[in-house]
Amino acid sequence: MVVMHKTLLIGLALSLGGCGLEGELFGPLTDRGHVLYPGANDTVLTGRVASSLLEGTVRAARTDGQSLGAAESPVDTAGVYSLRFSGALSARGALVIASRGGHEAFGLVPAIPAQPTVFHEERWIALGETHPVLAELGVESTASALVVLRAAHLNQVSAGALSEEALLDALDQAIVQLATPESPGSTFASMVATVLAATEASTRPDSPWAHDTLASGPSLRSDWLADALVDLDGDGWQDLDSKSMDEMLDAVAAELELSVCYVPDRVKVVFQVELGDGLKDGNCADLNPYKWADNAATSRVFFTGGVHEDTTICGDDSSEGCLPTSAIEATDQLLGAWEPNLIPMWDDGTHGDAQGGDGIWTLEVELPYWDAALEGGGVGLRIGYKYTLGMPGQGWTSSEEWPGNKRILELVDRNEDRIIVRRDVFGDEASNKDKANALKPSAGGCGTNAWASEPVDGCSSDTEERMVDTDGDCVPDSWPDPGPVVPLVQACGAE
Amino acid sequence: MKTLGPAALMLAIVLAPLDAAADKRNFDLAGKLYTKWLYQNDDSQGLMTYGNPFWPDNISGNNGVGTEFELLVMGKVSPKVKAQARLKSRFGGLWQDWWENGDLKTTGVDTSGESLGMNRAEYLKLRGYWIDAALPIPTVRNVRVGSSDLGMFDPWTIGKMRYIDRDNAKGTFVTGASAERTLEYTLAAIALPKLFVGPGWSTGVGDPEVRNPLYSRDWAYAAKLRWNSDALGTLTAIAAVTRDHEIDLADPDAEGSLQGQCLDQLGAPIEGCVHDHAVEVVPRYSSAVATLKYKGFFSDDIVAVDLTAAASTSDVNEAVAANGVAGNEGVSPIVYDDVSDVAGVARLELLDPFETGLSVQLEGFSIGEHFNAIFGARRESDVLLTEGFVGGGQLPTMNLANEFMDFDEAFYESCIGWYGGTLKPRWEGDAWQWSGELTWIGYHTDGQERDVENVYPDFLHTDGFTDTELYDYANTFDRGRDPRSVFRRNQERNTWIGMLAATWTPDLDTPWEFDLRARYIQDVDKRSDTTELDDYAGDALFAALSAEVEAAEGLKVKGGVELQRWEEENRRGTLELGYGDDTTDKLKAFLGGSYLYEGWSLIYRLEYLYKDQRREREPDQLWHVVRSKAALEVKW
Repeated sequence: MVVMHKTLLIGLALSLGGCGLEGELFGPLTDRGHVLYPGANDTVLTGRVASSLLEGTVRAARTDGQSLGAAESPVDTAGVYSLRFSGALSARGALVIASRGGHEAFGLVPAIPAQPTVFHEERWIALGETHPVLAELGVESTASALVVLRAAHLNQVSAGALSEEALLDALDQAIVQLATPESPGSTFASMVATVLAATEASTRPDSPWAHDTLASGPSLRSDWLADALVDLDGDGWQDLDSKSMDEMLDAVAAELELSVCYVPDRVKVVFQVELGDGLKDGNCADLNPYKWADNAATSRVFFTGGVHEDTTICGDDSSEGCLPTSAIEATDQLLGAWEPNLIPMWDDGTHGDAQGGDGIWTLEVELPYWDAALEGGGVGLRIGYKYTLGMPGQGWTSSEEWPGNKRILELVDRNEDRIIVRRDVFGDEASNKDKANALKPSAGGCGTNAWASEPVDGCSSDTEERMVDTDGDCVPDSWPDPGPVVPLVQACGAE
Repeated sequence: MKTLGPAALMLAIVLAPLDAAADKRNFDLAGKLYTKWLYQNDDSQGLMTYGNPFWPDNISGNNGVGTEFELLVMGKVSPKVKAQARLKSRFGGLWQDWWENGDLKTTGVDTSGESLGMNRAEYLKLRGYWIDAALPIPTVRNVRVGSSDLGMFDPWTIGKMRYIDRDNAKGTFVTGASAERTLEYTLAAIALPKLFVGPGWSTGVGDPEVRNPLYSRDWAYAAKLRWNSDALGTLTAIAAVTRDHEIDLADPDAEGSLQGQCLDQLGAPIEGCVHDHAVEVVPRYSSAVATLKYKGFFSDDIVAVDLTAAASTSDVNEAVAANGVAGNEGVSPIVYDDVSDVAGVARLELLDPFETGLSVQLEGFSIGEHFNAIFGARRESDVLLTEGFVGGGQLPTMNLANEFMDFDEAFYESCIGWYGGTLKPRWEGDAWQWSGELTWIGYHTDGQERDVENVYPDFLHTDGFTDTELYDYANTFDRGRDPRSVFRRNQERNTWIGMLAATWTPDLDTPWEFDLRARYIQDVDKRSDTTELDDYAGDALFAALSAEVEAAEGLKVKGGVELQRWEEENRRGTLELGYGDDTTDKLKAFLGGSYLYEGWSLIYRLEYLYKDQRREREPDQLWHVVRSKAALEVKW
């Protein structure tokens, strides 16, 4: 018996001890059979173009002219096109632009929904079924899109900020305006028809439309008009600018009644962080973003953070301008709850990222919000956060921007666009780092980054949405572009 | 106490030498110094003709002299437990490398002498170690923990490690037997080498499909059972399994998980996804090979029968193993698919049955096209009788290692897909010995439009006789077929190999020995069955004459000459570009010898190699190569 026991014990020890058998034997006991879920299948928008645009191409863009990520689609001989998007893409107020050389027409797509589940089959959306005016890209779709874009601008919002229902309603109103005889609408429609006829007859390869100012300014490019010999207003003279057309557009757009209602207690927050070569820090000095983080080929950028301890928490006698206790945990989870390398940021043109592969990683998140100017005594929701560069599940070591301290941000909508965009540079210790801040004293640095709503003498603050430098002179000059992210809206009248 | 103290001191003084003596009895050391000289009339510097075929190394080259030192430390722990460690200096430092300390300074001109890396610093490295214990377990004869050359298995399953790797394999090995040794067994768990057993010659390292290679949980398991019978012979069964695992990136707890938040791409929760701090693994590559071997002697040992049957499976998880066929220009040690196949070799030997000095070996063989011994022998073994194309040996694997060796060492080729037979007669007289070979080879790998783009590795260079004497890995100089290349897009091939050799030992006062040897290979491949324009016909003739004399006690001198002519129609090309008829002439003359004296062991070889390659579609090529190698070894 003793021999048997000894044999069994020694045999078991030899079998298991360091032979890899433990994993073979015990691994299956704890395996849950995890399955790697697939990515969402594509969404395909399909429609037709006017006969003058046969064998041209169709692309999708945001209302500011930036690409929406779909590959260009050819138009077949029947005038049909198919624009393919990632199934994860969700957008409102996108433009579908058909062109053949400089001959270009477009339409305003109220919404491109993301796939409902990753298991949903490839989804085809016939644009003509979303709104009749989109059945064919031509004069009517172009004119109606211009009217709605301008109407949104007159209401001081972007078209993307409107709900799908509001956009559909706006298109309906625009169609009525355009179809009313001897009205500004019909005159404007004639002008659009004139432009399209001119481009159809022209051999110029460039578009007449000023895509970056379609909503806000000149709708046509003046350099195109200078060569086009187009009479927009029918006065017998060539128009060298689009003033007459824009005035008519303003008049038509002013007739539209848009319903724009923002969600009052939530806000879209967009974190953007630049990572790459040639970066400058807050002192306008060359920045090495990999001072603490390893630049491994398999790494990507993550975000983590949580509610800052300085945030005003609602008490028994306060419920406005503060964060309810019940929302702390949920907010922490949205921000990653200080677990590194958990919440991925994106640089692939999806999930709120404007441009894939441009080195700007994006996280779009919806957070509790109150207008600090009206509530909370000027103090908004305060969060702490940090970026990491690593693999999913990796620890802090060799992945965080810097050890220890964190970035801080107070949710204040400085440019009043109903989106808070915070643009950072990975590893910039001279920006909104709370302690051991490297901002030079000559620039107001004092080693500590004080809340802007609680200024400290001799210390500058960098704790809010801020402008960024776009021309390389280290002087902030523009608000960061929120990309495809649009404000949170709701049906008017909803609580 | 005052009287006990000095007494104890005296006792300690008396006993101390006895303890030391006991330690020395259980402790032994052995040393070896090995020095190698290489010379060639080229501009390369280093100590090895063929180094690493994949990564640039800093030790290979044809001109240099270097030394290595080996120290064996052996311990007898107890009558039942022994241990050994082998320390050896790194080989690569040249005698000219004064002050080299292994630092790496990679920028600019460096005159410090401290820039060539550890390979050139001659540091002493722990190469091997083992503990042997005869544990008191019934039937168990020995338990080894540590290094082994894995020679207890066979080339089909787990091959004996090549010389340079002989201590690299480590594991736990249990050997045992019944009381009369009628039954013997070996069980082994072997740490799977991270850099050759698997797709892409790795167990995940460097695989573009693997973000974070998990190679420390990769093992091979093997079992051998041998039944011995004095009357009937020996029956041996061996089975080996390799298991290469990787982290399951679907597991949210895994580092590098693609579902770390348990959310899918659209942000929806993934059903059943839970952080439980238990990380799952998935198989990347698994293989299993088994052999059943019989060996018996009959009729007073005149008749010997040697039979081998083998089967192999190869399973690759395409999700975590990159396709080396598609992504590495067809250079891959595995078929990129789940495949299995069988193989068999039957050998009959008649040992001087008529007592006239004539013996005959007869062999039939068939190795399936999908058979692959991924952990089998990579070199320094041979499973077929034939000399084949390259002379060194044939092995049933694409994981060959014609690397880390010098110009005078043999090349090995893959025999996957071969079937056929070999007849080898041998006659031994008083002064003359004659031997011959006649082999015919057909190919299970014949076929049309085989997918060599995505599934079957062709090793990029599939055509022409292989020149193993002037070999270059990248085939910059058109050295012919890669010895691992067994698959071709279009193939309809057969081969004849004939060999005749004679040795004459005249009855002289000075012991001379003369060798004459001729070998002929006819290799025919109709390739595509859609045209005759690509049909290949290759004829290769090798003829050699050499003489050896023992000039003085311990001193042997040998010299000789070899002529080769290869005539190949449609040797290489493509259907689109056409093929060319090429002719190769080679002349090799050599002089060498050995000198053994009182533990001094010196060998030397000097050779001149001329090669004239006349190519129809490309410029002709000419070689005038003079090279030599000497090695001196002393052991104590």
